[in-house]
Amino acid sequence: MSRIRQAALLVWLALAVAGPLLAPLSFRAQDRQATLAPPTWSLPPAAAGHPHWLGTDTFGRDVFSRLLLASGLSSLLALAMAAPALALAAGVGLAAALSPAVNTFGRALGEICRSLPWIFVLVAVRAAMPLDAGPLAIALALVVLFAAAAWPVAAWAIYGAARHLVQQDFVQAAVGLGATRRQILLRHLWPNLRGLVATYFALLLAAAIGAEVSLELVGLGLPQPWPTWGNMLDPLRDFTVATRCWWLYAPLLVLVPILLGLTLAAEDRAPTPW
Amino acid sequence: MRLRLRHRLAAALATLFASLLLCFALGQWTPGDAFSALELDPSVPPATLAHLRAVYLPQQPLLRRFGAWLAAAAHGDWGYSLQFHRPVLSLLRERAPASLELILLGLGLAWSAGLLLALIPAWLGEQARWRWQRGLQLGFHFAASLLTALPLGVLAVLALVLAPVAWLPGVGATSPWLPALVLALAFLPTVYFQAAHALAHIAARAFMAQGRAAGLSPLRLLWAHALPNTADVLVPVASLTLSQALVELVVLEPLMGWPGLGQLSIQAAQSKDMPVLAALVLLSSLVVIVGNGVSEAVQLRLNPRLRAGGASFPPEVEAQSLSA
Repeated sequence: MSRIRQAALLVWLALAVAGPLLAPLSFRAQDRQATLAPPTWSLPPAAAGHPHWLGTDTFGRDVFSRLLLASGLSSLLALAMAAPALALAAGVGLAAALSPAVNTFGRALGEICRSLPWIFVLVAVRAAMPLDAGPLAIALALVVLFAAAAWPVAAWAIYGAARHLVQQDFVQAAVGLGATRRQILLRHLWPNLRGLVATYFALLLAAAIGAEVSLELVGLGLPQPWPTWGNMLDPLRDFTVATRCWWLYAPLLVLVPILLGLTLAAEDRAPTPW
Repeated sequence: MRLRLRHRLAAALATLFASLLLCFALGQWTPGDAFSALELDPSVPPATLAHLRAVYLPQQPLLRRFGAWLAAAAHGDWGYSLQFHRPVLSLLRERAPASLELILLGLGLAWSAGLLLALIPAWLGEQARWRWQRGLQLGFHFAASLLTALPLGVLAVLALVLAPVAWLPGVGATSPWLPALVLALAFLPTVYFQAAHALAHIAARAFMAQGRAAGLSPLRLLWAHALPNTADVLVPVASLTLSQALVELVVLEPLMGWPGLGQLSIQAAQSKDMPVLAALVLLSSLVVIVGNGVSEAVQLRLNPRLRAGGASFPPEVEAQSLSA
């Protein structure tokens, strides 16, 4: 099972890093003569260029090349959204387990952040941004608001586990022997909590990808022409396109296995009921 | 330590305050306002534009404006929507029932289906049909994981495509069934996983063995003894699903064309209608805070140990921490 997981992780990493470099065509070049063209594997003998292996979208852009770049961009964005949330959660959770003052403060802060209706705030933020805001500014808004909303639940779980460990004999023995907080944290808590932190990383990554795809579909994600899994699915909101152009569902073939893999990996590490 | 009522109230007020102030600061510090679009219209002279801004957009400093808005909001005046030309409160009153209907229907479906799916394998387990139990659990488990892998937006798009094919209830502003179904499918895995988890933990408890030994029927054992004891875990999950569902309305409603608060927020965002957005942030924070408060009160009522300050962390994370 862990072999499969490692292999899947490697495939994803390769897709995210090397994918954009391997794209045969430009992600933004529009071929207005061939909009919504079905996939072809060969070109007519006289034609130059490269065949559209996964067809073209509503602007005549190559879906295959866009999908490769989208895999890189969406993965990077999801990582950028999940990593600060996890760092905040692990930091606050561990610090709270060792210090009651941090616990009170962190809990109050977590309560505030958890009640924040983050997508409503995101809508307000996007309304306040200029219409031609760059992809970096938009990504930053996503990262900050997602991290602010997502950390408390993970922090409580990490706190709970760390607190449970702190009360155990081996940690108490280390405290009695005069171990510093740093030693307790690095030698006793962290090795026991790695699995839980990894689980929450998988869950947060999945949540970030899901949120990004959904927000993209209502126009709150990265702007065109930058491709992401979410905005590549956007043409499907048109019923005629959705029923005729099956090749536009291609992003789901990348998206669903990755999300499924992350969910299963998280459950695999978490205790299962049976 | 759980938060006391006092702390909770303080945290709630701080949340409201923070999100509102953020909204106001954004409106103040960023370029563009409700009349920016008119600048492009050559038939509107600059003097008229300046007059409009002077009349409709308050020119005081941020904090004073914020104070004035808070005082007015406390008196029931939530501002005036420049896009819809109506008071914000009447706009909210018109849109809120649609969202409420959608949330109640969707979460009701998700919870009843999720609990049922978790109870069936548990029931088979009580009857010692292990093979059936395990098979069903694996099947449900995989199906729920697959549903988790479909983001809400994708579910909505797929539902719209499949609706005419699969004879699902119609699309449009009249029938809430299709959006509610999508919402229910999005929350079904959460409910199922948490309920299955909780039931499996409870099946191993001493009082369940006692019940089995006393010859209680499996159905009675589950319904009267196991299910009530899951409340400790499931009540916080319920408040979590409520706040998540509220947030996801922003995605669901515009995609499915359902005229509720989520759609309103997107419409308001497109025309920089800041009073509407501020009111929506206020309203959704209020709903989340009240939901959390009710869940907390129900937990305290159900679990005497919490009243004595016994349990040290929220029950939803208990299962995770025990394994570590």
